[in-house]
Amino acid sequence: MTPTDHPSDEDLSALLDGEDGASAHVDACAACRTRVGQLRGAAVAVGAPVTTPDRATRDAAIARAVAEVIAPPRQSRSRQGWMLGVRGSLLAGGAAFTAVAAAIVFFVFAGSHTHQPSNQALLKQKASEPAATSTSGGLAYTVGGQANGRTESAPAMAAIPGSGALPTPPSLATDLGDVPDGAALRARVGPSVRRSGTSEQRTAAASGGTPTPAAAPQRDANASSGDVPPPYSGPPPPCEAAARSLGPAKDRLVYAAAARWQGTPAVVLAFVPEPPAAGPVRVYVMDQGSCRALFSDSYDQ
Amino acid sequence: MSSGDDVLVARAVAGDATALNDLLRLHYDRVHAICLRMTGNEADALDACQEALIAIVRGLARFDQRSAFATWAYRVATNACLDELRRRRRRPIASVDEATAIEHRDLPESAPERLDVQAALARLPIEFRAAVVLRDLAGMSYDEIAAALDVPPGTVRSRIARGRAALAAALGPPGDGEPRTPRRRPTRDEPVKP
Repeated sequence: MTPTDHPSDEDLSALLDGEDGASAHVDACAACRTRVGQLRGAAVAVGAPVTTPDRATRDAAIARAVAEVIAPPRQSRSRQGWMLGVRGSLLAGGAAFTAVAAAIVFFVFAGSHTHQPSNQALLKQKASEPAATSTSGGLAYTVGGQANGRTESAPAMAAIPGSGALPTPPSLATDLGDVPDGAALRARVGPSVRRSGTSEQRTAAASGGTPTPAAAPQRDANASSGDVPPPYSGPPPPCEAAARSLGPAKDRLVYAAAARWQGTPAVVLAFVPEPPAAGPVRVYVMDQGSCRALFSDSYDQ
Repeated sequence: MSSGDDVLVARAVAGDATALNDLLRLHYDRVHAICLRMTGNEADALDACQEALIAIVRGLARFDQRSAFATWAYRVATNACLDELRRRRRRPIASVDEATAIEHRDLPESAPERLDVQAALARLPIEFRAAVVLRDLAGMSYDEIAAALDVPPGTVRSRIARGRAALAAALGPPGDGEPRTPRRRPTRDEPVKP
């Protein structure tokens, strides 16, 4: 065999990819086997595992992508999305009217000893509404009404222009105040959802929090073990179903608070896998008005 | 397409956001790896990866399932990387004419210094880099890569070979076998010399 009979690099490279046209020559040629080894080394180097981003980075990226279809930005809504918004407003208006009428009837016939906060009545009323949907790129994602048997709602609340005060959802006891970034969020939420510690410690750790006296005992009463955060047992927080749709569909909700995320009124929700499953605490920051995901993170327990 | 992907894609297209989330999570690491190999640094890779995920989500309704979801997703990721590289102008993408010129020019067969794979890849023309990454990292066939890059399969074969040869020169120890002069066969990228 003469040197000019050697297969080309292209043929040797193709040999690595399953073409066997040059295999007979290579079997008999040490030089070509060496060359094949060099090319294989390059291929293996390219295919070698790379350092992957941490879980929080991954989850945040996925949440941002999924949010594209769950809640497209209002300013870029398609005509269809805009029409859905109009239809939703009409539905909300109708629901509000129904709620007021129902409340009047309720108080007239039931008297005052079954009093319930008005926002609770509104939330319960919303439970009977059809789930809202948003569309983007031909996909329609259900964002409410199906998760965990709880209602999805961004509660009717008005921002307080110029006051700087956070329009805390009436159903949430804790207000984290301004949260500029993920590190600040972790510092405030992390201690509240870690495995160990009493509910009082967890509550106190939520800086800026103003837990109601009834909230902490409720959590203790629902604690299932000493090393897993107990279920959140306050009133149904807004945007829970939207957060669950981002991943933690059947996880345990362990924390809910209001916050202002980079200036946007938001709801912070944290989930852990239901025991005996183990896993990190997944924290989601949802736009209080649209239930669009603003940020997500994972904390190792 | 794996049956797992099949189910998740169907559910995601039907509007199940949890399935969409799971689908993205399953393929995130590979998409990120492609972006890292293509862009050459972590910051650009994360940006390209984010754009790729968004493009996947937006395009899922148009995914016709003629190929595996993974193949389609990696194609989307590759395009996101090309867009990212264009935007950053760190490695300007050649025009069609320039790309042709690159294809015809001889790649270095030896390198003065040994490089790590990322640096070696960064030295490759983007067309070669994409072909090698899609083959050796994403495991796509020549035909799939050809469809992804919109070039004939023969061009893919040639680009992969020349890309690997250049990488081997930059990465590997010098060959210790006997000297070897392969016959020079024109590739589909090269004009036939008289």
